This record gives sequence, C-alpha cells and structure tokens, in this order.
Amino acid sequence: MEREDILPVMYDLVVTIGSEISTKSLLTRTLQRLLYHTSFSAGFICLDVPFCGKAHGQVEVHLDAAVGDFDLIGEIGKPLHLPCALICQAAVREDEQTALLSALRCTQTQYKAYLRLPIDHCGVIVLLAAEIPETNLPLTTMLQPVLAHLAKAIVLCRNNDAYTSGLVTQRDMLEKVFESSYSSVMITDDKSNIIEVNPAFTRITGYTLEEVRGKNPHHLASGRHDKLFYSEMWRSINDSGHWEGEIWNRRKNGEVFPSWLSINQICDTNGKLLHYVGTSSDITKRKEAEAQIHQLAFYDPLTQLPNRRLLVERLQQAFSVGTRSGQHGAVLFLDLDNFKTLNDTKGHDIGDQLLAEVAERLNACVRDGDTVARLGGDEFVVILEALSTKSDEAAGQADLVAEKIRDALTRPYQLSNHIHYSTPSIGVVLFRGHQQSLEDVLKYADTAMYQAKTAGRNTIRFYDPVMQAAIEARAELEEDLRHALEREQLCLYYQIQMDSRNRPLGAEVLLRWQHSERGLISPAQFIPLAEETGLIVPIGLWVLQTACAQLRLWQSNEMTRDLTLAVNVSAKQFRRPDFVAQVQRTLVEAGAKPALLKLELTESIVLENVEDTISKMRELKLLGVSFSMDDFGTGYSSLQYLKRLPLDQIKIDQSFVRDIASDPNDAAIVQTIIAMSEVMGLVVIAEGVETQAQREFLDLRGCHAFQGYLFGKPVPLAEFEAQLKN
Amino acid sequence: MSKANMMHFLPGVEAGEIEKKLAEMQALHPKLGVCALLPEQEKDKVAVLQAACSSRKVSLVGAIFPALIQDGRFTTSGVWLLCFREMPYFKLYDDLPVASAEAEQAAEKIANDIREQIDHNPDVTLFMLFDAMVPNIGTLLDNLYLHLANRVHYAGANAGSETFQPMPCLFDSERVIQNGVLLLLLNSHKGAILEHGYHTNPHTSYATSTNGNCISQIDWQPAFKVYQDLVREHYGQEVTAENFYQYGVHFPFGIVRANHHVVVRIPVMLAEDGSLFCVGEVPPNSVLTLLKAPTVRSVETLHNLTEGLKTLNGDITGAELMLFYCAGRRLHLGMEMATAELEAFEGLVQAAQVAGALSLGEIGGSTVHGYPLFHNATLVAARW
Repeated sequence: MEREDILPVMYDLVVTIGSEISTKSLLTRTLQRLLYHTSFSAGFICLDVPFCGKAHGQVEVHLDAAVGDFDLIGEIGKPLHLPCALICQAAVREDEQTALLSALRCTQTQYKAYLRLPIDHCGVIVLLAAEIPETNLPLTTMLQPVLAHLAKAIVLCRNNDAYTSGLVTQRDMLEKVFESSYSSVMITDDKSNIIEVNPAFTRITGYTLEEVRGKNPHHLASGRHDKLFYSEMWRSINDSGHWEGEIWNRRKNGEVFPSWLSINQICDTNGKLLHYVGTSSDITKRKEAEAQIHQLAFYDPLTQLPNRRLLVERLQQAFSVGTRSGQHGAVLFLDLDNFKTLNDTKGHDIGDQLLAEVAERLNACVRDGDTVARLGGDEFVVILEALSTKSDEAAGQADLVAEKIRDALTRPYQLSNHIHYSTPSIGVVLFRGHQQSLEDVLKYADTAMYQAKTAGRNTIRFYDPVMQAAIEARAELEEDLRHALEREQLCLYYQIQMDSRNRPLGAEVLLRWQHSERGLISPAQFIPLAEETGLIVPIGLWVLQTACAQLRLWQSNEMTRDLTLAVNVSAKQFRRPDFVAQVQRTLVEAGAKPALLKLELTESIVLENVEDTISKMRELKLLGVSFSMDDFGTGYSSLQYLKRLPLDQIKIDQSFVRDIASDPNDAAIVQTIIAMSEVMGLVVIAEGVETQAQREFLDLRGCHAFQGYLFGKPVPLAEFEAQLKN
Repeated sequence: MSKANMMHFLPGVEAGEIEKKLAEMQALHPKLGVCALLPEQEKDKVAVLQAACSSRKVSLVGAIFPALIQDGRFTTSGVWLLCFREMPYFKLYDDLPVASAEAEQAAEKIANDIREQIDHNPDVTLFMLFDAMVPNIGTLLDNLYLHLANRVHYAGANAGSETFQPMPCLFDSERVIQNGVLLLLLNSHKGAILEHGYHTNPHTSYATSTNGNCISQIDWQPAFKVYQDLVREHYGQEVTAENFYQYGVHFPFGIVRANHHVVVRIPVMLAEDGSLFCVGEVPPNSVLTLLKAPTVRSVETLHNLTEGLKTLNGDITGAELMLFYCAGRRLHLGMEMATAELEAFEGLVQAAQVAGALSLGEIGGSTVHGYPLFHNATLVAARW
C-alpha cells in the first residue's frame, strides 16, 4: 500500500464508521475494515479501559468486539485481565511480542505482532498477527483522525443503543401483550384495511394474518346487523374516536358468534388518523351461560313455558301496551281438574307427561305474542293481548279463546300406554292498562278459576267481585286467627251439663274468639277456618290446657271438685301421633284428675281411622280419661265399630232433640239411641235441651243427663261459677 | 482426510451401478457417506442417486455443476462419488435471506450450528457448496467469519447452471434445494488452496458506490465510463455497450486486498445508468484494478497450487485431490487451454486421482485460517 492510498483507506473507514448506528456493529465493522486495510489477521476492542498507572500490572477489561480469532470472539462480553503494557499505552506497532500476547490465551494462532490504537479516552483497539504485516505507512499517526472520529461515533452509538434498547424493551413488552392477549386485536390502516392481527384473533376467527391482510374488517360481518347499526358505529368512531358494543361476526368456518368489540382511532400528534384498533372478546360462552341462566330463571324446565317470573314481566308489558293502546287484555287462569289423582295413581312421570302435553296444546291455542306460562303444579296462565277496546267485546274474545282451550284440553291424552281424560277449570279476568294492579289481576283470575272449580269443574268463569270480597274477608280472618292466641283473644265458655235431679254434672267447654275489632266471632265462622289452616292444633292444645287448669282449680272447692269438663277434640289434633302423650303431659302439668276430663270425639274422627282411634282411646282410658261421642246420629256410624270403641258416653245431637216432642221420627231415633246405649253400657247425654217437655221426654226414655239452654247457655267462667252457686 | 480409493467416478448415473459401487464401499466402510458431484446434463438423475443411497442406507449430499473434472478433462456425463468412511456433519440450508439484517441472522444461526459440532480437533474445514444464484455469498461469508473466525478453514465452490438460470442444485438424501448452501464439516482437514494467477495492474481505482454485486461508481464516476477508459488506456481496446459482453470475461476487475491478494470479479452485465454487474459481491470502497486476460500465468498458478497443497498436507503424491475450476476462467482461456491446465495440474501433483467440477465461483481463505473470500476465475484444490 502506497502513501497515495491513505486517503481512500481513511475514506473507507470514515464511511464505515459513519454508517453504523449500534455500538456492537460499529466496533465489529470498524475492526473488520482495519484488519482488511492493515493485513493484521485478528483484533479486539476494549472500551472503558480503567486508568492504569503501573506499566507491568494487569487491568480488568471487557472485550467489546473481536474479529478474526475464535478464542477472542468467545471472550466477548466477559471480564478479562490483560497486561497494562498491551492495552494502556500509546499507539504503537510492535513485533516479537510473543510473551506479552500469550496473555490473550489464543490457541488457534500464536501471535507475535500487534498494533495498538487507543481510541481517545474511550478504549483501545489491538490488532494481532502471527507475522508483522509489511507496510511503509505510518499507521499509528495516519489512523489518529479516524480514531477520533470513532470515539465520537461510539458516544453517539451508545446513546442510540440506550434509546433503542428502551424502545426494544417497550416494543417487546407491547409485542408480548399483543401476542399473549386473550382478546383479539386487529389493527387497520386509516383506510380500514387490516394490517395486523394477533394470535387471539386467529384463534377466535380462524383467519390468519395472511388471509385477512389488506381486507376490510367487514370481511368478518355476519349479516346480522343492518346498515343503521354500522352507520351508528361509524358515527360514534368519527365523532368521539371510539365505539364499544356487542357485535355478531362470522368465523372462517361460517359460524356466527357474538363478541364485545371496542374500536379506537389512533392519530398522530397532529391529529392525523393513522390506524383503527379493534379489540374484542368472544362472548359466545357468556351468551350461552346467560341464555342458560335466562332459561333457568324465566322458563319452566318441564314444559319450557315462561315461569311466574317471566309471566309477571310479560303482564307488566301487556299493561304498558294496553295503557298506550286502550285495548283490553285478559288473563286466563287454568287448573287441571283432578290432576292430583292422576299424579297419585299413575305416578309423577305420567303427570309430567300430561303437563307437557297441556303446555303444547295451550301454545297451539293462542296467537303469536300471547303468553302461556306455567305457575307450578297444574296451574297455567294465559295472557291474551290486544283485545277489543270495548269490554264486552273483549270478554267475548277472551271467552272464545277460553272455550278453544277448554276444547283442546278435554281431548284425550295418550300418556305412555294410558289414555287419560282431563278437564280444565278456567278463570278469566279482563284488564286494561294499569287500572288494576298486577297482583290483583292474578288474584282475580285465581278467584275466577276457583269459582269455575266450585261450579263443577270443566268450566269457564269470569271473575265475580262479590266472591272475591268473601275470599278476601276470609283471608283476613285467617290472618287474624294466626295471632288470636298470642293476643289472648281466645277464651272458653262453659255450658252446664245437669242430671235429671238438676244437679250439675259438669260442663262442655266451648271456644270463643273475642276479636278486638269485630267483637265476638262465631265458632261456626272461625272453627272451620282453624281446621283448614291447621291452626286448630295449637288452639286445641290451648283449650285442653285451659280446661285441665280449670279442673285443677276446681279441686280445692267442694262444690266444683267433682265436676267434669267435656273438651271437643278436632280430627287434626287427634290424629297427631303424640296426641296421647300431649293429653297426658297436659294433665300432669295441670295436676288435674284424668277422670274429670271428658274428650268429645265426632263420628268423622272415629271413622277416619278406626284402629288408630281405638288404640289412642284405650291408652287414654288407661289414664282415666273418658270419652263422649259427640253429635251422635248425624253421621254414618257403624254399630260394629261403635261396639269396639271404649266410649263412656253418647251425646244425642241437638237436631234430634229439637223436635223430639213433635216429630215421631226424631222421637223414635232418640229412643233407639238411648236403648242401644243402655245395651252397650254407655251413658247418654242429650244436647240442645231447651224445653221442659224435651227434658221430660228424655228423662222418661232413660236419658238422665242434659245440656242446653233450659239449663244454661255457654257462659264465661265467672258466670258459670255464679250459676253453680245459684 | 488421508484415505485412498475413496473417490469413484461412474460414467453413467444408473441405479444398479451406483448401488454396486456403494455395496463395495460399504463392505469396507460400513458407515459410508457420499458427497456426489453431478454435471448439469445429469441433473434429472438426482432421484436415482437418492434412491440408490436410500436403498443402501448410505447418507448422501451433493451438488450439480456445469461440468465435472475427471481424468484431466471436463465431462458433462457421469457422477463423482466422493466417499467418507463415516459421514461428517452436514446441513442443507435453503432460501437464504438477502436483506442484510436477515442475512446476519442466518449467518449467526449457521455459525451456531457449526460451533456446536466443533470439537477439539484443531484442523477443521468448513466446506461450502453454494447455489451460485445466492446473490450475497460474500456477505454471508463475512458474517460467518465474524463468528467462526480462525477456528475453521474455509473452502468451497458454487454449484448451478452455467447459463446462470435458477436451478435446484444442492441435495441430500431426501431434498433438492436452491438458493441455499450445503455445509460439510471436514475433520482433520487442512483446508484448500486457491489460485487464479491473474496479474494485477499497478493502477488502482476505488469502487465508490456499490450495492451487492453492482458497481455504480468508480472513483466517483459512472462505473462503465471508468471501465471504458481503463481498457482503452491500458489495453488499447474500445469497449462499447454493444461489445461489452465479449470483453467482460477478458478484462475482469480485481479487488485488491490489503495483503496484495486479488479477488477476481468478472463484469457480466451493463445497466442503462452505466452500472456494472459482476459475478460476486463487490464490497463498498473496494480497491479495484483492471486485470487482463493475457496476463493469466498458468504455470505459475499451477505451481502455486501444488506448492500450497504440499505446504498444507505434506507429500501429496498418490493422494486423492479435489479440484474446482471456475467456469469463467474456462470461458476466458478457452476449452483447449483450460483442459491443458487440468492436464498440467494432474501431471504436477502426481495424485492418485483428481476429482472435481467446473464451478461458478470459488471460496477460499485469504491465508491459512484466514478470511474466507468469494472468488471468480480461480482453481480451488484440496486433499480429499
């Protein structure tokens, strides 16, 4: 190489240095070009060489670049201890330096010569050769300006590296987010052409980037949305830069799926639109779960009909529509007659089959838009909407549908191998807008259905307000009765029982309800209610406890100590398995003599389950409790059973006593009862004795115990005790 | 790789003959591997080779060249089976990237693959057969060198069609690929000797604007204008756009290396803007000289080759040698002179056999364990 070649070499090196933007590449390429131009075979660069004052010491450095030697390349980036004499001195070209260069521990080539080129204060370049390359160029001085240029380039490249590394870290992070995101991400250019999608997009839609690149996102459109939907979407994006909502798209396999999509505009700092970014999640599973929840929440699983909840919603809607339109609607409340019998006799599977079939037939009877719902059990409700604005016409329309339903439901049912015949009872109520409350409309329909039921079943009845009032009153009474005990509104009246010599035998205790607002309520009114609601059980116990307590109180008084108290026992009370124990406990707790307690049973109680009755009566008899058969003669008592019952007394019903003196039939019956009792060894008592003639008649025939107005009405305790004294 | 009788030429590419030869070799070397050289004319026989090797369970690699060298002459038929007692590490890379960042990554990957295979043996040759259509072989070699440096010897040649039409030309037992490279890691191998024998012109110019194998500017002037001036000034010939194609091969460029070695670049195409396209890359700011055909000194070339081989391997008498001869050189010298050069080489080396091919570019180190360079117009010789 001649002197005239210096400039092109310098030119090449400067161009090389100037064309690199990263430190690693800058050092490697520069070193490579230096080797090329100088004919040294290998070399390395160390940056940030620490200051070293000792000529024979070592200094710890890092190799930042190495070219031409495999061993040195393997040391790049690692800490190395190198002689200060090799790397810390001024620029020099040296031969015969085997010993010094052996510190490099290069195995492939044994270096003898080196050219050291310090890079300002940044570091050093050391070029190596097995034989010193010939040259007549003053390399160390000639390369000085290049090295000064390199020093500046190193500073710039390091700054750029730091900046790029930050960008790369940030880019890597964003890339990871993009790649690993579970949500689908799609990026388009400003013309809405897709330029990038992430793996989640491919997983959800089935399209790879190659398949959608350059295409418009409309490529995914399902066809489920109209133009208005998209124009609204774009209006929002253009106005606010954002849109979010549910959208149905189509996968590559043709499947349509719902997703929650968020679209954002990406603009540069000047507001120029660059991209649209769409992020979406596949909400198919959520939709399915919602649908399932909706189905479970609003539909009856057996018939797939709307349940009560949805019925209420639909009815509300119907009210609102009716309010706007002025049209009537109707609620048809249906119940299958004798459904319980089918369930009990054929089993629930068959019952369920019938319900499912009824649901189908009902659906077939109504128009689209009408609602058929199942409330539970065998109760169905049909809502008819958009009937006439005139109530009589609307009633006619509703009646037509009800008849159609009745007709459909009375046709025979094939349930497994069984042909079943069923009839409905249908209650109908009209409504218009919000004139009545939803609860009232359903209640009225129920009432009307109840009317249909009581009218003999397989019947259609429109709602009757009078009956509704009665039902409401009864419900109110029932509610009050629930609190009667705790409010201490119940009390006992005592009606005296006398023998034929006008000596008091005891009394029948009779329950009375002293209502705070309604006054004294007739037992005929509330006892059946108590029976129906089961309230008779706690009330009956209270009666028993009160009577026993009274017996105990009377023990201390000579006048009352032998009096018996007759207590009426209801069927529900008697049938309880712990009835005997209950009586026993009550007697013990009160300290009353069992012999003074007389339990009055009706024929119906006895006949319901004769064996159980006999068993319980025997147990109680063993305690000393006595039994009276109440209202004897009104039922259908079998003498065979009567014979087996451990009774003490038979009470002739007042209906026979009333006309005993005038009606030969009644007289004959009473006479027979008395005669029969005598034969069976039972005492007879007659109730409802109101006249002296009746008393005499009975006394003459052999009945020597009486109860009735002739002797005294049922009266409160104080009056009764006063009556005794008199 | 001092092993006798491992190179076999079969005049026909026939399954039966190949299998027979393989069976013979397998009897001696059960782990036999083969590197096959096929002439372009027999390119359709790759499948025959693959099937034969597969049936004998012999590992196969190979390449297709414009012609083969056999018995001191060029031949366009037959096949060379260059055998290994045991198949060395090899790998076939296809579709090598062109863009610089991707090429750097590809080279790094190749270097990593090679690094994993290098053991403690100090003499390892990275033998490379490139598809000549890969446009950035020089860059790939540069990048490979940055990773492997002096750990391996570099040698190789370019395969393909003499018409420079794309053609799958590299293969192994299953694949035939193009735009790639076949690498073989030859253990206990001391590399190759590469010579062209062109004499340089003392006048040098500078390729001031290049891109790959395209020289746009020389000395800050349009490349073709400078080329015309140089040819006129030094050799008294008038090159025009019309006769350029006849002159290129006779007046190639030489890239002058710092150690005074010259890398030949034959200009083969002229662009409208006066840029010149060469076979092989021309690095930016290369020092260029104009070479002249008559100054090819064959005797000196062959002498250097032979001496080089001896320096590397010691006595080579009776050895088996591999030789790649540049197609451009043959075009320049003419068939007769090129064949004479082959014969002379065989006479000089006194080898048992010289097996080789007409190549489309050659790869050799600048020195022992030196920088791998991509050449034109050279002879590359190595012991097999």
